[in-house]
Amino acid sequence: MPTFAAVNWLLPIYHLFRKELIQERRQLNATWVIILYVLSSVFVAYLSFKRILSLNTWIALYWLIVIFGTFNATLRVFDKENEGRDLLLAQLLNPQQVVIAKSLFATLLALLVGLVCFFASFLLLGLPVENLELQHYLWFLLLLLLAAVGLGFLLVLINGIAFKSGNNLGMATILGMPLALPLLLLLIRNATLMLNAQPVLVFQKYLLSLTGLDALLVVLSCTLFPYLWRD
Amino acid sequence: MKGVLQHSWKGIAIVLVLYAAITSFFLPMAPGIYHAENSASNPFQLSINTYNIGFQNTDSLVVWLQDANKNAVPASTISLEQPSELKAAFNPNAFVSAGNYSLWLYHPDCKTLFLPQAIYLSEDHLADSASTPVFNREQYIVGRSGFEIPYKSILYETIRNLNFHVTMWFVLLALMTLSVVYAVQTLRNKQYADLYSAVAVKVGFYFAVLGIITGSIWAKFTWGAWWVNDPKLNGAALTVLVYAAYMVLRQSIPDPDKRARLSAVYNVFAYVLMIVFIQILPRLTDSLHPGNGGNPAFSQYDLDNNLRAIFYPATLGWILVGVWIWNLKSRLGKIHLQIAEQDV
Repeated sequence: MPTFAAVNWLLPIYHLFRKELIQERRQLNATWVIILYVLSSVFVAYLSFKRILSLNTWIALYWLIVIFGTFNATLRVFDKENEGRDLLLAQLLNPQQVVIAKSLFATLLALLVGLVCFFASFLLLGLPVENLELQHYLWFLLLLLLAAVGLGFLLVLINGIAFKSGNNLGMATILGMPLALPLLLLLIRNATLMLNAQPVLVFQKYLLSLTGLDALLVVLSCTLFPYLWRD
Repeated sequence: MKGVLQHSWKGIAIVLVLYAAITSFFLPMAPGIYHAENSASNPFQLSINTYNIGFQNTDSLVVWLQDANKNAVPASTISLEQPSELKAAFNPNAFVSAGNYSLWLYHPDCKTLFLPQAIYLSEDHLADSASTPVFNREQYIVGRSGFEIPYKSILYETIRNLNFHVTMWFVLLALMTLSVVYAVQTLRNKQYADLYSAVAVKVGFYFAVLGIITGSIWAKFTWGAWWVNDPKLNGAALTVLVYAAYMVLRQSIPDPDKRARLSAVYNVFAYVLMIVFIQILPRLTDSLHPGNGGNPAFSQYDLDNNLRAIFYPATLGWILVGVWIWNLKSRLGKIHLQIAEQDV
């Protein structure tokens, strides 16, 4: 039964993902750290800018805060697997299942960072565009989702390297920041067009490129992670 | 005999690089039109400066202006101020369309020279009863023959840098590809593959630095700044950052097996994203580099045949030199590894 095989393969991903969520709920302080990090970053921007009048500045600040926030938020993805717990996971699960579960969790964290940052920037800095319709906000939400998927899979692999290298501190940022640039470039371009209330026809090219890049990141993470994971 | 054949590629590398360096530096540049300007009082009076060619008299000198529809208007009078500075006057009744005009010049000594978008004529300049004069431009369009560096406005003599600057990036790409091939071998547990991969990154990094230095000097001359916002430059910066991070990662892991595996994973990941960044994303935007507006590669119109005859051998020669350095350094590294094993 092929369907059962698929379910059997996917079920551990769900369990591991659920384990991550439960652990997160038990340590809610970690989630608050992320939210406060983003809020204080936006507040620093608010102190220096008050109201941002140029959309380009707004978008640059927004993605900067989201990128650094996500880097910080995902730093602890593998921290729970210290003291040999990673070996246990490696015994129990196929590495691809581990990377997918971890990446989905990282995606959730990135989405949280993106949404919190958006609402905080919206309230404090204001959105320097008028006549935005509901559909533009929905497109932006989709963009945020794609950004979260891309960043999630990218950063889980990078954090895996940093975790296995044994010196977590700063390594993930050095390794990941240049590799996040292609993603960042497409995000900035998409966001500029979307928040300028352009029709879909204008930015569909970039949105498709972003989807393609996400797919590439997912495939790369899933192929390379097994080599990282075995000891 | 076997040794000679085995090492002949090193000889080829030396010959090709020397050939490229000597021709790039010492081959004369083709003449061209350096500057053309119409005087403020009379837009149909042009002062023209030529580069690398001087004329003794105006006999058999033909100058014409040409619009986008190839309507050619020959100069009515031509006078020489200096050997390389001439004045040309045109009949105001001969211009039928407004827009940019290219300037063409023919002399048996220099064949046909041309300057795109030399002057701009607005509607106000056109006479009411204008008509295009009878002028057979085809007979004056003669290509230059002979081996020389082509003349291009804006670039001028710096076009010679092509054979040094662009080749560096080809070497970098070749070495990074070599490095990623050996990174995959590392993941398959091949012996010494990690050493080869790491050495290729180090050597490639030197070439990236050389590429940035040569590019910066060129950019200062042609675009007016040491660093400009351009997809290719972003790609260069990204490449340098990624491979610097790669070397930092290697430095930070003491265990050799772990270092080999982790850096190989990062290498493959970074290589694929680098290719996306420098080969695919630039197609979505405009670039200042040639072949711009959608294609990061050379277009067939950017390189002329003389330049090709230097550029392609130069690329091959420099790639061979890069591989040679990589070969020497990895053999040295291998010896160090073997000595260390013997000590153990």
